[in-house]
Amino acid sequence: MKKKALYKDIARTIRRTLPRFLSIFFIVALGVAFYAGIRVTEEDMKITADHQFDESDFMDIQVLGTLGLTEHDLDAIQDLSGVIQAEGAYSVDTICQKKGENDEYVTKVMSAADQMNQIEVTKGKMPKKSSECLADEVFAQEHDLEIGDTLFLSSGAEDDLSESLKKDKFKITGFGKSPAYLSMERGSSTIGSGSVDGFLIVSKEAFSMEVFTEIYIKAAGAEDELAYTDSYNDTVKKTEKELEKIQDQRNAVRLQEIKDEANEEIEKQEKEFQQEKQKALDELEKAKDQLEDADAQIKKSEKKLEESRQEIKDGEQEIKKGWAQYNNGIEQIQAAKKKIQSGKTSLEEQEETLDASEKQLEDQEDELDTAEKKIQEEEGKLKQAEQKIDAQEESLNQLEEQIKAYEQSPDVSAEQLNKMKEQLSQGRTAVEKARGEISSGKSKIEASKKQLTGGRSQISAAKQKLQSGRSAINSSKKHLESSEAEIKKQEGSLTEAKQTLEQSEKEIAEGKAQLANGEKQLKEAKKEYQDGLKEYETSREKAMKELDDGEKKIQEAKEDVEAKESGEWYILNRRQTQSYVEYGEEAKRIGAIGKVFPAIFFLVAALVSLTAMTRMVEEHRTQIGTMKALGYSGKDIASKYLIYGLLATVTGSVLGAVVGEKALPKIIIEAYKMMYAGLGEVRTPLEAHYTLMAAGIAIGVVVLATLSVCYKELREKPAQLMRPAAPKEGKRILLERIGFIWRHLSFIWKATMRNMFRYKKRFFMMIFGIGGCMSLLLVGFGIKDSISAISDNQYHRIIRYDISVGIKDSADQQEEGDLMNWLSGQDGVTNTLKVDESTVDLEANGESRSATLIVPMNDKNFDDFISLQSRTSGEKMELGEEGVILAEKTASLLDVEKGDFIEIKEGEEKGIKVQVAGITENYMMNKAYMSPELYRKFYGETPEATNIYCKSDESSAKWENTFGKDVLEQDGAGSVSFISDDAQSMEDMVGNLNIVVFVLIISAGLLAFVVLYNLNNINISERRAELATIKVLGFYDLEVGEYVYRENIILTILGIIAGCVMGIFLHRYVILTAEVDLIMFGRNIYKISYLYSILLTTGFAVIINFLMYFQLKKINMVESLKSTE
Amino acid sequence: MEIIRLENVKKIYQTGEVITKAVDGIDFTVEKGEFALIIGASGAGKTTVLNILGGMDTATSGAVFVDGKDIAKWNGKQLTKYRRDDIGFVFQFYNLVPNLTALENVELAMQICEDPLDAREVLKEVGLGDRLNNFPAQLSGGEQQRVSIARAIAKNPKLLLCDEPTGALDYQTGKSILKLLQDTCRKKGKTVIVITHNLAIAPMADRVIEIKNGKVSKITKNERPTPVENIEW
Repeated sequence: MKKKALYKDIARTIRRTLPRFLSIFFIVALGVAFYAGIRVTEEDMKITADHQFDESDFMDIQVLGTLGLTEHDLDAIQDLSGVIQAEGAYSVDTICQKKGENDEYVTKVMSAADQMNQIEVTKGKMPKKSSECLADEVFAQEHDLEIGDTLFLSSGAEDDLSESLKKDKFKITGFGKSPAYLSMERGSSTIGSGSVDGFLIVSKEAFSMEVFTEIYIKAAGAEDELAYTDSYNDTVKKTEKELEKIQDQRNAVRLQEIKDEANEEIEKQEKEFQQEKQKALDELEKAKDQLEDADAQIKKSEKKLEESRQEIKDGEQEIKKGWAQYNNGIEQIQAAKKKIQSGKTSLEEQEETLDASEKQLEDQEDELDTAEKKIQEEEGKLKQAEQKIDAQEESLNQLEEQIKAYEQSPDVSAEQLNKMKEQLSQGRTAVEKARGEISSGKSKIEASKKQLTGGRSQISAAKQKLQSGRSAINSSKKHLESSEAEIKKQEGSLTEAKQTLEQSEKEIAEGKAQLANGEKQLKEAKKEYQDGLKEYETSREKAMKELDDGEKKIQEAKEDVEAKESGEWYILNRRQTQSYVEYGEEAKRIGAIGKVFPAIFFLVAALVSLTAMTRMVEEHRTQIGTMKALGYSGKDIASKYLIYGLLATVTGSVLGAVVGEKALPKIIIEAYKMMYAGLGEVRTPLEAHYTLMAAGIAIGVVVLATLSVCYKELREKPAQLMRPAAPKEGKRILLERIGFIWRHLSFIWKATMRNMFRYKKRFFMMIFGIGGCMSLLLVGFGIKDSISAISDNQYHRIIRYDISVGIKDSADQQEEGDLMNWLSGQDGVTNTLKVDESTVDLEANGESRSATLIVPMNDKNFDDFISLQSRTSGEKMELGEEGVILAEKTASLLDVEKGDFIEIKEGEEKGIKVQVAGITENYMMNKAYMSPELYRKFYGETPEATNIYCKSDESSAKWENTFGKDVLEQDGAGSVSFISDDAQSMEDMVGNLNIVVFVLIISAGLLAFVVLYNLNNINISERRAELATIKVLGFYDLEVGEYVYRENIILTILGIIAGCVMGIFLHRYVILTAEVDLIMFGRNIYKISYLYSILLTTGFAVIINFLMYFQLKKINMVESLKSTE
Repeated sequence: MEIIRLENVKKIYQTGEVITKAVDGIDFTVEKGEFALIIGASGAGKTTVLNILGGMDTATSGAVFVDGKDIAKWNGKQLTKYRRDDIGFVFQFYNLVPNLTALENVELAMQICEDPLDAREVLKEVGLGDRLNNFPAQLSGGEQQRVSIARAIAKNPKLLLCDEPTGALDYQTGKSILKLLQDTCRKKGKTVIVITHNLAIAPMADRVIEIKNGKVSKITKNERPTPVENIEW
């Protein structure tokens, strides 16, 4: 019965004081939510990632071999006890272009693993054919790739793509994410712009490589451990150790394999080369022979041509001669003809003269003839007579002859002869007589004749003359005729000759044409020959050079093989994966934040509920007295308040724990997922550990508070209890003793001051609440500032160069110089500086840190590239010979100050001891700066440049992309990195923190709200009578408000001041806790953050006070003053 | 001259279905400068009447003329101004601000007044000239009530309303407080209205208004009031 009444009472009390109950409930819920929620976030982040890793069978260790990894290596690794699974894989960085576009991206092409590093396909499907690929989801989104798009790959380096991939064209079959890439960061590359834009997954068959580039390993027992924890790291470490043990042996085997292979190859190549060489030489020989033949042929042709030319020349000459002869002949003929003509003419003239003379003669002759005829008649007579005589004589002579012939011939008889002789002698005597007669006739004739003869002789002489003339003419005529004939003959022969000549000429012309043709042909042949010769020479030279080169190459290859060093294994665990580590650090940061904020929150929550409970018990004073007077035991009475408090606290804790552990990590991790797109589903299991801790503290605090108040009240006598507690006495405050200030305060301010200090609990609660709110905001903004400070300071103020170009290890002086010149000649590059960046170990005070030692080749303008300065004083520093300048964080890690000595070690060698000449502001990485002079002093040699820093006045991504690509095409350039990229990733990280800041602002607001509301409520209810009184006195609502507000304003101001102080310390604490070795966060909160925090805090306070105004207005004077009636 | 006139003033509370008529049609008047007593048993409605009269509460119906103005029709702000300028209140439990000294409590009221009296002077008048800087907790009940009266007077109000001013005080102290009030009325010419359930002091008043069950049962005008020193009860 008793209990029932008690429960009823509690139920009624809760109903009546619902606002109070709820305020305890909510503040506890809030406190627990934040405490458990934020604390659990670190773990949830790890769990979420771990789940993702386990689900996708993400490797624990990845072994990279500089010489590649073989099946044997894989087998050897699989045999290790610490390895439960191992799988070989291929990867290669390529330049990728989308079909039809010009933009080039650097993509990491990886083989799809069967067992490990499973790709989560978000769209489409995994590639099946060797011409298909799956694209990085993030990359695809960024560059608008679609399933079915075709990508063209090229190697981007000297090697051909075919050395690594069978095809260079891939069709996208789907999109997905890889557990190897939690964040958007895709790592760096030696090709293209220097940073990887995305990955592509292809089937193993798509690779043409003979050996694996990497082996993924699952360490035994690692899956059971939560990623990022020490136990996980230790488990993996065991396997790593095993791997380290076998690596030397495996590498030696691998080296031998490679050497053998290479030697075999070289032998084959050499053989081939020799064959080729012989073939080439033979061919050359043949070519040479051919050329020589051609040469001889040409010479022969030339001779022949020469001959025919001579012939032609001779022929021509002959023709010429012939023509001359011909012409001469013609001329002669002409002359002869002329002569003949003139001869003919003169002959005709002579003939005419002769004819005239002849006529004369004929006339004379006629005369003579007549004379003669007479003579002749006489003579005829005589002659006849004589002829008779002559005929007789003749016959006599014939007879005589006959006689003589007969005398000789025996045949003729002597009689005949004598007869004949007689006849002869008779005939003779007759003849002698006739003769004598004739002689006398003759003598007479003779005399006439003599006359005639004289005429005749004259005529005859004339005739003779005529005759001789005629005969001369005749002979001349004959001569002429013969001449004419001769001429004609000659003419004929001349015509013939002419024809012959013409024929010859024609022939010669033909000959000439032929000759010309021949010459032309010869010329061509000669040219051909020359060309052939030249070609022969060049190809010979080339062939020789090639052969030489080939020989040299073979030699080099041989030497290379000989010089080949044993490869190395890079045993990389997850912590060598950039995004894995980054994510871990994010979790750690959240963890650090989670250690501080929720604690504040929780503390405030505890205090608020404590105040509320105290107030409640105090309000119930009379009731308690009554109960006590009625005989209830102290335990019973206290149990009511305990149950009340417990109910509020337990339910609040449960709600807070569930909401906090579910919602907060979810919100925060989801926010991180914007940057860590690789994360899978967010896992937020309820962690009993945190729930119990938070609830335990909350319950403990409330129970203790309730008990202590109850105890205080219960100690009093019921009679005292039943009277109202004496209002708190007014007291003089400390300020009143400082007369000059107090006197200057107006009355109302004096009252305010006294009121403020009268309720000390409230005073501190207010300051704590507002200060808590303020400090939360300040820390929230401050964390952002500190991280922004890294990029603001590091990448804009300290690192002043824009691009760092890595010089290839193998680059020679020439290439280095060329690269330098090329860089200087680039548009946009304004200044360059060569530096030596090396990794060293710095040691001091038993601490050792790996750091980058930076030695500029020229320390004159070093300040243009890296600003060395003190963070606190801003004083500039210069590199000098007195010592090195250390980065601030490095110095603090080594626990050294200016003037101390540190040891710089490179590898296992003994280091150098050097003084710290200064400590410079620096936020990223451990660094030490040394002047080139000091370097020479210590190392005795000039530093060797490894990087070229460039300053640029171009900053567009497009320019950088082009520049990056161009610079990597230079022989001397090995890598390129842009400061803007680093700054960007840093800024992205800052962007991530916005959510944290936002959560903090919200929670600070909630905190401020709950605390202020609660406290104001308490304030109003405690001072209800007082406020009613002043209302009765005629204070307007606003004046009543002011009466309270004045205190609140001062308390808010004090709270803000306290919050600033708390915030600065908290911020410092969080920053130092969250800081990792390689990063120094900004130590300061920006002024603007103070302003924001103050404005927000004030804003919250104003809202609360505004709400309170209505409560004040609602105070019922009658009711309030009646209470004590 | 009539300074107060109540006409058929009613105050009805309704809680759920229960209707409570705290004041059920009251009519009375008070002349300026009068010392009026409102007498009645507990729960008769006298405090409600005083609260309505003092502008702390509003009547459900009826008219309340103060100095010719019907305050029953006024809104909260007008009533506040009315309280501030025209009314001085004295409560049974003094209702001093515990955090302020006697002087400061008086000053608190004067802060908002247009024409206040000198606080020290007033405190001297109520006989606390040497306790100016004491906190209420350091004063006896009578002294606290004197501070309370001083606070009311200092505002130089038209009306001084006292709700059982002697209720928490012993006989002698109560008597001296009543004397102080009577003196204030007489010497300063203030209209003073005192609520009491003590019928014995009725002779000291100019006018006695008896209230019973929310209604005026009887109004007695006393032409010759007896000084309080001469009254024994």
